[in-house]
Amino acid sequence: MKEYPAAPTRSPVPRGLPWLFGLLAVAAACYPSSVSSVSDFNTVTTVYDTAFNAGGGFQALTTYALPGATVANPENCVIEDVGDGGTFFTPDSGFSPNLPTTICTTVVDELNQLGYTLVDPPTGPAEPQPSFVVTITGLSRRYTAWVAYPWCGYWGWWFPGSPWCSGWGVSYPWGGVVGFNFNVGTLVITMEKPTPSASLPDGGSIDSVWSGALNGVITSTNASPSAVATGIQQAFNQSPYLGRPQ
Amino acid sequence: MRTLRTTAFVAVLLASAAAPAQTYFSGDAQEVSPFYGSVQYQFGIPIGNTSDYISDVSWRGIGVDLDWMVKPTISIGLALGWNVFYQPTNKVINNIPGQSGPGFAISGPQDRSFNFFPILADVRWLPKLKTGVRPFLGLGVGAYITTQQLGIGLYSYATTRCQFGLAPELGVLIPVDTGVAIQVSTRYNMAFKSGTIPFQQWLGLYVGVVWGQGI
Repeated sequence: MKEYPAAPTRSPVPRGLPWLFGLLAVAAACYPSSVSSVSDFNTVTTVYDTAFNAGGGFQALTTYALPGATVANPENCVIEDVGDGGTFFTPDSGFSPNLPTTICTTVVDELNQLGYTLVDPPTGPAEPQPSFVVTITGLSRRYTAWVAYPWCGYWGWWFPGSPWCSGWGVSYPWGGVVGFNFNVGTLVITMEKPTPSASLPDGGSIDSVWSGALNGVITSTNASPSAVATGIQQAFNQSPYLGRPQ
Repeated sequence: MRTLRTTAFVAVLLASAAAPAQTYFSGDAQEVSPFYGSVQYQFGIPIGNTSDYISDVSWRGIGVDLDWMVKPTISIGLALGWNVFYQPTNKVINNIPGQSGPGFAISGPQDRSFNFFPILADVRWLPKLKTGVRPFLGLGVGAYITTQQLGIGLYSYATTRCQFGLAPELGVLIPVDTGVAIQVSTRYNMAFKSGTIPFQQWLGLYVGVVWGQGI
């Protein structure tokens, strides 16, 4: 039987299909995003000394001091500017005048709810010292590591008469493993447990045992006090290991 | 050797699809192309680890199947796809690879996504009923190119891995015209752990159009 070439037939693979293959091959992954405002970039980061916690450290803490705050006026706490060592919220900074007060009272409220007790700062070495200190700082520069509380004067006050600035240092036990970046406008709350021991007056360590950073929350002078308070509460909420035994 | 054989097999499949015009017939007996292909919209329901990371269902998915009948009721082919799972959330994260250590936690508005690109060789058993409808049962074996992404704050982290995968499937081809059918099927996608991406699984529900003389 004689064979004839077949008339061209429809390709079993549509002509457009190679394009579809190509599209699938080169398509970049799809990364949808829900970001609609600058505040969507704000984060709350917390970190703690796991060895301190494993030893029941947070449960053993009882009283605390907050620079600038007293039992009678807890809203007067000092919020340090890490960049220049001054006060972060100056009267001409443009921030809401209620913001510093909101930050101080929210931090104190959260700590009190955890069972810790705010006490007035000691005025001399002979007076009983609180079991930990809470410091609050604002960052006016970008940092790529956990930043030390810079206010030498506070620690000098804390250990009256000691030339601590030449020898004391703040210890961040998580510093080697947490490389998170902090942006301008970050609020950092830190719990420190000074250990003066035998190293006075020539130096020693101020051990940070917990810290919460509200990344970028006070970048804009339009920062809402309620939003900042919510961020502070979130820092404590995501730290369930804190607090006195109930 | 096995790789060579697999490559040769795939090459033959692609070559047979690309050279239909060279088909000859002898006398009155016209050969019928055994090929059929389909394009589907793919909906995904996350399960297990996938659901732990993204609990929202996936509305973004497309797939292409290319199959050849090797016996009257058995076909083999390729199943390609692109499935995107996405969820904005505010959950607390305790680990960001390379950025965190023990005691770390971060929260805030975040975008989580998975991009899966299944590349599967599949085999199907698809008997033809008297009505022309073809129910089918199949199994896909191959790779899932997976990208897991997290965006939080000003940071975005993405990891891409090639995961070995299995995908049993069940479905039906409903003819609507000569050489054209509707496909309704489900495929259970399983992509096994690779690197930092753990075992992933989701149930896919597919609706598509099928064409070809092979159906």
